[in-house]
Amino acid sequence: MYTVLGYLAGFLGIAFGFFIHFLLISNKTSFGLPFFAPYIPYSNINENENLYIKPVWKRERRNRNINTKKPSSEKHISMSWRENGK
Amino acid sequence: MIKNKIICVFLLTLILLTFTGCNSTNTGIDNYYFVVSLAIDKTENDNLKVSIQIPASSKSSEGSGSSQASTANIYTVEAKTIDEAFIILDNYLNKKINLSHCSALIFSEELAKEGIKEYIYTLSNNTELRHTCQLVVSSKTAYDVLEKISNSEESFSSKLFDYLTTSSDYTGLTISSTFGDFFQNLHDDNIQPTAIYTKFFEDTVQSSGIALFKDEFMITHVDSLCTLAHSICTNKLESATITIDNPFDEGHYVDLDIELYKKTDVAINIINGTPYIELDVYPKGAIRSSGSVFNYIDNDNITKLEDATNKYLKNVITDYLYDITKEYNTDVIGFKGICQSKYFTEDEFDTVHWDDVFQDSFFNVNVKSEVNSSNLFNKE
Amino acid sequence: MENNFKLKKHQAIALIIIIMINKLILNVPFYIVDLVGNGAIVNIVYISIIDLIGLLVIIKLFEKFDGKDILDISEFVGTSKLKAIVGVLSIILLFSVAFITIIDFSNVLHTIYFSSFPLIYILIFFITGILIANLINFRAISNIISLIAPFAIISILITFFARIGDFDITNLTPVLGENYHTTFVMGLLNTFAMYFIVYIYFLKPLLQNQTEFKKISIISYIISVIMILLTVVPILTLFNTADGNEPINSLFLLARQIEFGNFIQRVDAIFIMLWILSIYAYLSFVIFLINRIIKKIINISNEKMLTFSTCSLLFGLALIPLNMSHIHFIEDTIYRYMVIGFIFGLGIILLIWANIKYRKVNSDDKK
Repeated sequence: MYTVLGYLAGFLGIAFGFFIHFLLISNKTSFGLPFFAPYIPYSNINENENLYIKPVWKRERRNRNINTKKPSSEKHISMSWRENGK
Repeated sequence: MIKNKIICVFLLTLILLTFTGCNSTNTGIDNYYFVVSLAIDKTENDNLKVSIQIPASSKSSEGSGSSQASTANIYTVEAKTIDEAFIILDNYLNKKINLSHCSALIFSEELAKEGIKEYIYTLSNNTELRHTCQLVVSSKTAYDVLEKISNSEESFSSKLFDYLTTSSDYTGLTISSTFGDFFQNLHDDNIQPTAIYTKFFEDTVQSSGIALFKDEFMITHVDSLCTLAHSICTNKLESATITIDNPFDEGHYVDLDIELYKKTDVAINIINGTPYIELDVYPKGAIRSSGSVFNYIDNDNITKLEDATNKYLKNVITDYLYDITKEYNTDVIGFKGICQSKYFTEDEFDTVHWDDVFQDSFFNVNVKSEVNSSNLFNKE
Repeated sequence: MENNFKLKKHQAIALIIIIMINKLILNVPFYIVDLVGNGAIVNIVYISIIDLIGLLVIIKLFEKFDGKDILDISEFVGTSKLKAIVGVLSIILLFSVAFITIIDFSNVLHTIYFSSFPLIYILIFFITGILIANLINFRAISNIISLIAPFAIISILITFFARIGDFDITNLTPVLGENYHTTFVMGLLNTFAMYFIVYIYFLKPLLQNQTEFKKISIISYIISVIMILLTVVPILTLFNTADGNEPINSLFLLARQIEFGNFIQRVDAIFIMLWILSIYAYLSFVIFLINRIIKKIINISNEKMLTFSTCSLLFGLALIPLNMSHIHFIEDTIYRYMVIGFIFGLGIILLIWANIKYRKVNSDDKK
């Protein structure tokens, strides 16, 4: 599609295609949240939804946006055997 | 509903197909000749002689990995304006001309002395031409520059013109004068434009000095030593090598690599209606070679060497400054802008009548050099 | 649900930034410099203080009218007849803004990139995009504005900082320009630079949280002043326009000469794409606003279908064969007076009148 638009009108066609494409998909929702959440519209970027994610043993809280029943998924010190020095 | 959607999509595709005629099909890379350099001369009957240099496509030999052309073709036409010349060239060449990779714009000295403003304006409206391409004035005709470059024994490529940009970094004997800078200075009241000046020695073309302009007219050209002074005064000196009289041994010389360790300070005062301009220059020198034996670690020797450097540079810069004021009357360094910054409004600055009094300026150049290292392997 | 979509704080700030950036793209910094010359920096500081005072007055006068824009206030002050008059004047202003923007930018694209295309072809692409954006809903428009605003700011920052080595500081002097009269008295006409204040009059009903109105206005004001300075300083130091030489689009000419070594050159192509997107987003919002104003004047329930007629009218206006010199004359001269008249004339008078009437009505109620 972008190839055709680019052939028809160069940069203008691609910008036009991108504009319409983005308008359509930004209106969609995914599991109740906007498609580009939390970036557009910007809301607090929570723990597990950034560009990078923490190691498995550090993921202590669940995503706040989706109203989970239990907000925390593991204890603060999950690997207690390492803490105890064994 | 689905039937309506199908009809909509079908109609849209039809409409879009009718738009395909608007785009040109001749826009691929293979449909262009990419001009490497453009030369403009004047003919006897006041027309322009426009020459373009295009790399000739090499006959590829088997196993050859390089795609660079080995020779160049020069095409010349005579026309009244540059755009007319391009149209004529487009007409008889089988491909369209494209100036996106033009690395040098060459004018002949004869044409430069008659004024090049209209040609600069024409070229600045060309969306393809880059503002980083070098502007060169040739002592003979501009066509000769193209001929000498393309007949040189090195394989031809646009990199042959790179020496124009890079040699100013390490020699100080030439400046980097781009088309964009020239265009900007043409409009600027505060500084006059300059361009690289090339001369011919036997079969080669060499950049030797700069061409000084006043507005659009070339006044004169100056040699490499004045170019060094110009670079120092405009803070564009990257590094250079100078040869001064050896203070310890008459008849011998010392070579120093210099660069500026601090920006040149310029202070201008109007005393009795004439400008009194003080320049403080701060070069840092490193001994490159000396024709004789002396202990360069000794403080006294260093001081003597610094004094000799100061004296040499002071003479070079002062001579150049008095030339550009008294003889040529062209402010290529930008003193007008520096003087203007002392006033609050243009009306106040107009009372100075700078353009009239510039020719009577006095200069006081203070050179404070530091020779603090050397590039020698042996102690003496 | 879509009709009740309200803007959050960052979305409103992004909206105002896009409005300002479109003015910067279309050569408004050059008109500022053209009027006052080298004194543009001092002049911008001076007019930003005046405009800030005006903005604070407007915010203060709007305090008592939560969720209302200038049309509701004019209905409160007069009857629906005054609302219709104010609405028609606003529509004329917004339509002229939109059609000049679209025709100016299309001409720029036509000159730079699309010389072989007919102008109507470029216009059709713009109008179709705006039409589709308004047929979807306002949420989508505000989403794309939130996406583009940061990138547009980055493009202006890159244009400034990449060319900073070539600035000739002596061109900024003399600091006060030609003389005091030009910089301070004639320079008052440059108050049109803070053009987004026109949209502040219509912003309140679109906000989710009315208490954030003041914060949004002031933050976006500060960002706008910084962006104007970042576009005016390169024009002063790099282009010398003393001999009447007017660049077609100063920001494009600045971006054209950016070079990072041998590798990154001619980044104006990417910037043009960004600026095309921001023009799309801005014009979609302007048409949305026009639809809303028409809806308020003639009381219709669904303003989406109005989009077809407003876009056709915009297309028709854009086809008026205007010379570039006419377009620049309108942008340079007529806009100044229209915008200054709307912001400091019509708007403030209506607000003061409304506040007086509100106090009168309240004191009568208490009695």
